[in-house]
Formats: sequence, structure tokens, C-alpha cells
Amino acid sequence: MPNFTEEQELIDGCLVGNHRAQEALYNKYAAKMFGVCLRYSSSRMEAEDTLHEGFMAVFETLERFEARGAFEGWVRRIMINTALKKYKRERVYQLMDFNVDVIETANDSDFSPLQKMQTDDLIKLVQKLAPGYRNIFNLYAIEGYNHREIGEVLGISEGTSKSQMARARVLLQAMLNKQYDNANEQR
Amino acid sequence: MSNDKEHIDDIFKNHFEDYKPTPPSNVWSRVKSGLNNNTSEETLYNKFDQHQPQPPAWVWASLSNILKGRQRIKTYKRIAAAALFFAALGGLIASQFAANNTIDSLFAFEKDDNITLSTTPIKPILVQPKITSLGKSTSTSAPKNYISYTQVQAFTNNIPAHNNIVVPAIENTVANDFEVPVTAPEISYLESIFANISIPSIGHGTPSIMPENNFNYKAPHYKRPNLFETNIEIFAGVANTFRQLDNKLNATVASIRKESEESAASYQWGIKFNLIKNKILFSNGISMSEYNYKGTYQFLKEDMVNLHPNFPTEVKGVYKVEDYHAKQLSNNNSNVLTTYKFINYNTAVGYLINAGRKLNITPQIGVGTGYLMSNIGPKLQAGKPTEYSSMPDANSLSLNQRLMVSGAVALKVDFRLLNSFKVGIEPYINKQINKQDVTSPLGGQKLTAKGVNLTFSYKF
Repeated sequence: MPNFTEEQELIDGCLVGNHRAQEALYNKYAAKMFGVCLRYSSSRMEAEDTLHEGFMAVFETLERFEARGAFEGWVRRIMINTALKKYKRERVYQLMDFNVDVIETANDSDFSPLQKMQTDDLIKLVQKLAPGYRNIFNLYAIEGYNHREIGEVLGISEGTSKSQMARARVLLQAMLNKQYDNANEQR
Repeated sequence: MSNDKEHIDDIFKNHFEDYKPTPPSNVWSRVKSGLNNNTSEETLYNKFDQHQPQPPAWVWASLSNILKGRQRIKTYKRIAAAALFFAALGGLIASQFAANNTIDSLFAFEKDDNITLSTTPIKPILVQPKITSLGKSTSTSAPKNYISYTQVQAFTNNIPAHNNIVVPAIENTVANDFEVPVTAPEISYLESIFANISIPSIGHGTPSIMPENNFNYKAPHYKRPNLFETNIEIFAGVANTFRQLDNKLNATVASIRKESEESAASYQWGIKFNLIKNKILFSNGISMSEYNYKGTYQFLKEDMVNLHPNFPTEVKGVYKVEDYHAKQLSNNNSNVLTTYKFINYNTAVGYLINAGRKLNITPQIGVGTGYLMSNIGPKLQAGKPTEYSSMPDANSLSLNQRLMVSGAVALKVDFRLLNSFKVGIEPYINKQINKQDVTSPLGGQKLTAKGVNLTFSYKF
């Protein structure tokens, strides 16, 4: 039984349809990519779908991976593209879930609740954002895209990307404060 | 304030950087199941790969001509021209057949392009073995089924599609997701077409429920604009042509006289018929070219071969045969001006590279035959020497007609100005040789032209 230790061995194994290699490759990246998918999804179930579709795309297009860049980065881009494709396919604009007054009075500079929160909680906050805001926040703040690149990826203008990014920050801050206040009231 | 906002970004980023939540085990089960289902897809690809279309008869005919020519070069070195002529003829046959579309079967399975097997109008039947979703529009006035798919398109006309499938058009799996409206009978038809291959996961995946006007209707293409094109091209340009003598084969002449090997300006113009199919260019054309060679013509001894046609049987004016010969020997390094005019037939094959949306670069290689229509000279320049130039018929000492063969490489860069017009420049190197008659003044010549043409083509 082959023991796939090197990444290239894994890739080669997958290319010839070796099921063990496919499983090993999945196991190696599934957790990290699930984290990516969760950030781009509204729910855990949706993230699972994205992870599934993303890995299918990885295996189907593996022969086109060129070993010039990091494999993990390539897989990650496929996951992000899969999530964005789902978003485009199911484009439903749920722009606001929140009370505008709350948003506008949010204290932008209060980061203490944010710093105390667990990553799972932060994921849930991001998931509560409308898909449009969520995608832009992820692409800009986490993936490091600039607004021009985001505009190209999502088919929107650079200005729209900037304004929605600003809005996403305000929304996140507002949600954060609200959660912090609720926690204080319960004490 | 701005820094504070960026600080939020950083905190989120730091939290998410090494976030590795464990996905539920059923995700791998679904992936595994999907991979197993895809064996049917692999089968389809295998069918593409295993299909080795047999080249039609004309390919063998062309190859036979070329090989025949090669054999003649080896056996009868002195009729190389004829051999190359055969090669050119082979190219001509090939390109003419290409023009009739029969070239398809040779290139039918390049996976990066959409191609078709038939010259009749093709009806694209949606789709492909990997259907990602099936949805229904929410339009109440005109509800429709939709099918989403990626990667491969199948085309058919009136024959069953599985006999005529071509085209794995794999370009960007992640980005390309086509959706086209289909009717229930069409879905049934699809299923029947692919019955033996099976469409994995039809209706599987995330259903697309969208309003009709949100559909991104991109595919299928009936014919990609740059996939098949015929155009007429006119071209003209200047060149620098270097004339060289093959002294080894031309020993008879070389022992009598020594001619200089120099460059001269030349020009050419002509017309071509181009066919571009699957990025392969086939080109046929004729051209006229002319160059004026001004060099030296040094007699080493009496030239008994190239005497004036009227000498020595007839004496004109005050000159006698002896005088003529004496002049030959005494006028070494006389300036001579020779005009060469050719009519050429050229055939070439090239590969079209899309360098931009409207910009193409096409490297080409070609062979041709040329007919040297006239050689007026050697004509003495006025006054050098006056006696010689005043001889009867001195300006047309020889009128030669010779078959030349040529080989060329070229690189065309053209830009589409309008939908049907292209303008371009085409630098080239063309070598013409004539080894037919080693005893004649024109025997054993090599003409190497380095030039550039301006091209205008019209697509029809």
C-alpha cells in the first residue's frame, strides 16, 4: 500500500485515479478549506455543499495544476471560486438584516469584544452578513484582494466594492457590539 | 478611524488564518461517490482519446509526393527542382482539400478547442456529460426548465450525437458554467443519447432556482469567430535579395567567368487565398517579384558558351569575332545590370496565435515554385564600354526562362480593423534556387530575399 507523504506523490496518485491518494489529499486540506467555505457561506450546510463541489472541481481539474505555485493556494482559489460561483448562481440580495439606527450608533473603535471572541463566533458573524457584503469582506480583508480585483471577480465597480466593504465593517461592528451588550445584560 | 477599521480586518484575518474546523464525514462520502460516478465521464473522454481518425486519401497522396521528391533528390541530385516541385504539389493538394473541410478529421480531437466534424450546419445539443444542476425558472408567465453544465459540449446534425461528438472544450472549469434552457423532451433526448455513457448526476447538485432574466446565456456557440475563416489577401512589399552562385555545380561557367555575389533591392506583390481552421493556416497564392542586380562580371577566359547569338556566324559593323573576344578578356570587372522577374506560386502552412482580442501572430513555413520570366542582360551600362553596348542586340544577349523552387519562413502579425478586414505586416525570408541547367549563365543560382510585406485581407 503506497504511503503518500509528499504532496507531489499525492497529486500524481490522484491524477491516475488512485482512491487512497484522493482520500489522503482530501484529508490533508479538508479542514482548512472547510474554514474557507464557512466564511463564504450563510450556513454550515451551505459550506458543506461548497466544500463538496470545490473538491470535485479540484479532482476534475487537477491535471491543469502547474507546479509553479503552492498547491494549497491553488486549492484555496478553487474553493473561493466555487463559493463565488454559487453566489452568482443563487444571487439573492439580502441587503439588510439589521436596524440602521444600531448600525449608525455603533462605536467603531471598541474592539475589546472582538478580541475576546472565539473564531467560531466570528465566523457566525460573518455568515450573518448579506452574501454581497460577506464576499467583499472576505476577499478584501482575508484574501488580500484589492478593490479593483474584487470588482473584476464579482462584476461590480471598484467604487461599489469600496462602499460595500465599508458597510460590511460597520455591520460587523454593530453585530459585535450588540452581542457584547447582550452578554453584559445576562450577567 | 481608518486605521481602526483596518484593525478590525486584521483581527478577523488573524482569527481565520489557521482556522481548521473539521468537516462532517459525509462530505468525503459525497466527494468519493462523485468521483466514482465520474468513471462514466472518464469513459467518454477515453472514447475521445481512443478514436484515431484515419487520414483521408489526399493526405497519403501528398505524403507520397513529398517522399517521392525526396527520393529523387537523393538519387538524381540535379533534378532537385523537380523533386521540390512535387513537394509543392503535395502542399497544394493538401491545402485544397483543407479548403473543402476534409482536414477536420485530422484535428478533431484537440481538447482545447471547439471543433466540428461536419460541414453541414451544426445544431449544438447542449451539453455534456457533467451536468451540475437542473432548475426551473420562477417566471409565472413562461416557466422553463434549465440545465447548468460545464466543460464539454456535444454537437450533432441529423445523425445521433454519440457518433459525432467532438469537442472537449475544457477551458476554465471553475469559471465556465453555462446554463441554457431546455425542454423536458430535450432532457429525455440527452439521456437517450448518452445512454451508454450515462450523464452523471443529472439533476444532482444544487438546483438553480432563478428568474429567467438572471440567466447568463453564454453557450453553446454555433461557431467561434476565429475557428473557421477564409480570406483573400493582397500583399506587397520590399526586400533585400542576395544573389549567390553555386560554383560547385556551376563549374563550367565558373571556369570562364567570375560573377560578383551582391545584394540588391527588390519588391514583390501578389494575392493569396487563406484558410484558417482550428488555428491552422493554409495558404495558397501567386506573386510577382523583380529585382535588379548590379554587379561585376569578370571573364577569366574566352566565353565560348555565352557568345552573342549572332556571333561568330555573322559580323556586325566594324567588330569581328576576334575583337569581341578580345574585348571580353580586356573588360574584366565590367559593370552589368541584370533584371530578374519572377512569377511565383507559393503554398504555406502556419499556426495562428491569438495575441489579443484582435491581434494575431502567425508563424508560417512554405514552399513554392517560381518561373523566371525574363532576364534582360547582361546589359552593359551606358558607356562601359561604348563599343560593346553599341553592338547589335547587346541589350538582349540572353532571354532565359528558368524554373525556380523556393522555401520560405514568415511571421505575419495582423490586426482586425473591422469584422471582415485585417491589416498586417509579414516579415519573411525566401530562398529560391535553380539547379536545373548548370551550364547556362543562370544555372546554379541562389536568391535569398529578406523582406517585409504589408498585407490586407478580407474575410468572406
